[in-house]
Amino acid sequence: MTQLLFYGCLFVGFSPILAFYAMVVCRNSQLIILSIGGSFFWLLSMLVASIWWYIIPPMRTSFWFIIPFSIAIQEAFRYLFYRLYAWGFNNRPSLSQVQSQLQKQLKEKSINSSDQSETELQQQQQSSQQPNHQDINTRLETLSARPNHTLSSAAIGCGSGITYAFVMYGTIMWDSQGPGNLFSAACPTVSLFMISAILALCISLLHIAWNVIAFQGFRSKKYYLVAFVIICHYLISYLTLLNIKKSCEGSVVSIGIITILTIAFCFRTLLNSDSISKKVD
Amino acid sequence: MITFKISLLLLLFSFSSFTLGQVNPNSQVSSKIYNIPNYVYPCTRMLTNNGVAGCTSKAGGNDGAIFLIDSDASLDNLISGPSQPDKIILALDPDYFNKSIIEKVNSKSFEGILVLTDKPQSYAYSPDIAYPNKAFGLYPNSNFTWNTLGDGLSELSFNYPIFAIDTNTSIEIRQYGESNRNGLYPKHGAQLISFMQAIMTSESCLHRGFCAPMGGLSSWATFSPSITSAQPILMVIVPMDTTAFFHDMAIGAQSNTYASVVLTSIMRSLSMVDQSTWNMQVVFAVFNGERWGYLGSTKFVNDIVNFKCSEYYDDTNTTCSSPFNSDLAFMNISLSNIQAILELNQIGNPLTTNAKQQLLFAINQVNPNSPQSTIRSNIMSVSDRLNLSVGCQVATDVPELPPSSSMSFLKVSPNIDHAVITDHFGAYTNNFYNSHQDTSSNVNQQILQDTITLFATVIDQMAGGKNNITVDTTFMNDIFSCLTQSFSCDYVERLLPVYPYDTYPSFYSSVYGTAPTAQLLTIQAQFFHNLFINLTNSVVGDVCSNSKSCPSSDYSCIGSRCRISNTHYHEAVSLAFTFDGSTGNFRVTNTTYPTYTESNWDYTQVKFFLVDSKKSEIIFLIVGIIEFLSTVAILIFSRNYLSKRYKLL
Repeated sequence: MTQLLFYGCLFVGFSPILAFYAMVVCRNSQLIILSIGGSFFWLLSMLVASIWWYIIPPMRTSFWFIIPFSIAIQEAFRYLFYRLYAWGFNNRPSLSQVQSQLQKQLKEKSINSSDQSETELQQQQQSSQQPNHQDINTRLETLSARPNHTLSSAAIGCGSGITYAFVMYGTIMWDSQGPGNLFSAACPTVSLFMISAILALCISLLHIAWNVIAFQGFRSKKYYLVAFVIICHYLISYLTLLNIKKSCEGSVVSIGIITILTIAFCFRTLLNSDSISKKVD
Repeated sequence: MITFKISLLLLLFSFSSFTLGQVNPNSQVSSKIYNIPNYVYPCTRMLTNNGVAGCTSKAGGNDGAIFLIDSDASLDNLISGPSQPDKIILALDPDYFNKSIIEKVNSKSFEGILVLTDKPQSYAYSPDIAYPNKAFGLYPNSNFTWNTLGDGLSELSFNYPIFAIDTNTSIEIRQYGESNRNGLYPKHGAQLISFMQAIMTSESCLHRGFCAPMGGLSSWATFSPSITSAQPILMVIVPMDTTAFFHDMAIGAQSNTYASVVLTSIMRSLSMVDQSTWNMQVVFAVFNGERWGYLGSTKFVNDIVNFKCSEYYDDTNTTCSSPFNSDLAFMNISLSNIQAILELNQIGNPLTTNAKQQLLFAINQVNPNSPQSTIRSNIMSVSDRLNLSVGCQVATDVPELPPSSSMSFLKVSPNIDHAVITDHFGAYTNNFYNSHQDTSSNVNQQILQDTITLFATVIDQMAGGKNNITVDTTFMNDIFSCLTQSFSCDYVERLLPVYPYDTYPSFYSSVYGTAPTAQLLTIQAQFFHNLFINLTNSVVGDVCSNSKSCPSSDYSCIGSRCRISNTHYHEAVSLAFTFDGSTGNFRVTNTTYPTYTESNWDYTQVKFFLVDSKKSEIIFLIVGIIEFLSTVAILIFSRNYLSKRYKLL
């Protein structure tokens, strides 16, 4: 009977972030590597957070106490990964920068070559079979060029978001296949699997938005963006606690609204940032 | 975050299960959803060569919302009311469990049945057939009806699961069913898993290895160190096993467990008397598998008459390797040496009284009017001599011998002097014959001591003794509560190597095993055997931990002491089956004998949980698909839109 519920939860919880992964991240091999890096660092932060949680047995069920530490650890790992990313990538030209440079070179060449005689053109063809040093450099630059910062940070966020969704929710969702259903005290009529699917959807998307905003903040040293991410993270975490006893509507609706607002804010900061610019043709 | 919390819990699992081995059961998601009672009692599938009986679930189990039937109104609501929106599992009040109700509800669609046990059934009822074991007794063409209450429910085949539920869980289910009546979601649901592997007939399932023959192990014991042909034998027998619609709830207090209590207490009393003047060898036997066509007694009689060992295992000649038999002690008994049989059958609740206000047991004989019957005259003389609350009277009006183990002996040797003792003169007076309701409240415990005194005196007198019998009332009461109430007494702890998983006493014989060398020994059969050793031991040796630490193979380690006793198991299996060593399976070779087999199964389980309405789940799935499609559309659109207008650096 509740294979239905299983597939419902699967679509609601996972489809947006998996679609983002398939349609955005998978188009570039470097983005895939970055997303795997993002998920690895998020798992490391969870490992540290769970060790912290485990070594203090009396506070294990006091989530208000555990949340601040685990969020701090997650954000610290986000910064660590940013430093690693910056160390490897910051001084490299981006793909679009390399491409525009290449186009500029080609333009100059074609202007020059139009004046040249036929013999010279033949020589040119010969030399193109044995490319000169400048060409080699351009190709290497193209191969090792980094994807742009916005997509990189989104891919890292996507990696951690997918890992989050599978680790936190995938294992629970597996149990929704059986005939039984789970209801919480806060929501005696709505299945906890459904609520969790919606929360997994919101929070996995928030992982992308947070990562884009935070990386933007780190890179451009606008630390109010980082502060926004941390505060938003805390807010979301404490809102989920409403699900335990008080009100699941309050938690789900407010988390949904915050998610939409955060994504909107993310786009706004992007447009104001140095990593995106209007095309001028 | 709630999901965050759960991830922490998951990480806890990996830690605790790998490093410490402690798992907090409350934190597993499925244990929060499913409430799984420890003890449930399934209806399982039995087969004969003519077809199947009993129940089976689908391979993955049947589930549905609980629908309680505890009144005629709720039954009418199911049958003629509006159709149910969900799949349903019926929960039947004890009073609504009988063939006519099951046939009524069979017209509706449902997934399975739970039978509650929180109240006793308020009317007399037996799910067994009208003449138990008719085809295998002395009167296969009889028109008499012994079990007048029987409606034959146990012989029917159901393609859905039926479970009985213990008392405490039954109370919960009743509440679940009542709260489901308001029609609001979430509803309480249940899943019943009892998938039976065997189909068709005994012959085909044995061939495929999906079932095993009914049977088990009988036990017999005697006080004399060895059986000789010099003295005649008095057999005191009791059919040990019983059955019920739910096999694991077969207490059978009146149908035979009362007789088992009497038999063991008689042995206890006789072990304390002076046996030096006895000129008979008294053999006590409890036969297993008697409900399935007198398996134990038929096999025993057949073996003492026909068994020939063609190859002994070793020089001691106690074990035969071809045909396999691990204990050849029965070969000392010859049928011609058996002078008399005293069978205690259904004796738990005599209702007939005589002028002295004694409760009367019936002495049943094939020919009650025959002039010479030593056993009858002995019983009558003791009954008249002792001034007890119980007495005996010859059942002269009954046309036949009631279904009894003695029939197996009389079939082969009709002239053995015999007496089958019952509490009924004619048709059964048992209110719950072969029902799970045949519990200790269905028998008369007040007369237990006098019954023991009466029959122990009869046996002593027949054997040649003149002793005054004293009854060990502590032993009697312990064994009574152990066998009819909770299988957890001091004797169980002392005499059995393992403690029973479920202390609900059940004397269902179960299956014989998958091969003669792979026999199944039920804990109840083992209990009788070990109790017999304890009661009849002639030598008690040192403290031991197992039989290997005893001085010789003659000893067995029972109750932490090495003991020598003339106590033996005997196989109880139908003569219809022959073991085929080349295929490793039994084959049906003689269909004149019973061909009962029991299906194999992996496990049986009942789960309780909450179910949501199907409508909300469908809506959620549709929302999810729409969400997926719109995400893809937004991504394509925004990629096109943004790449035209913006340049990413």
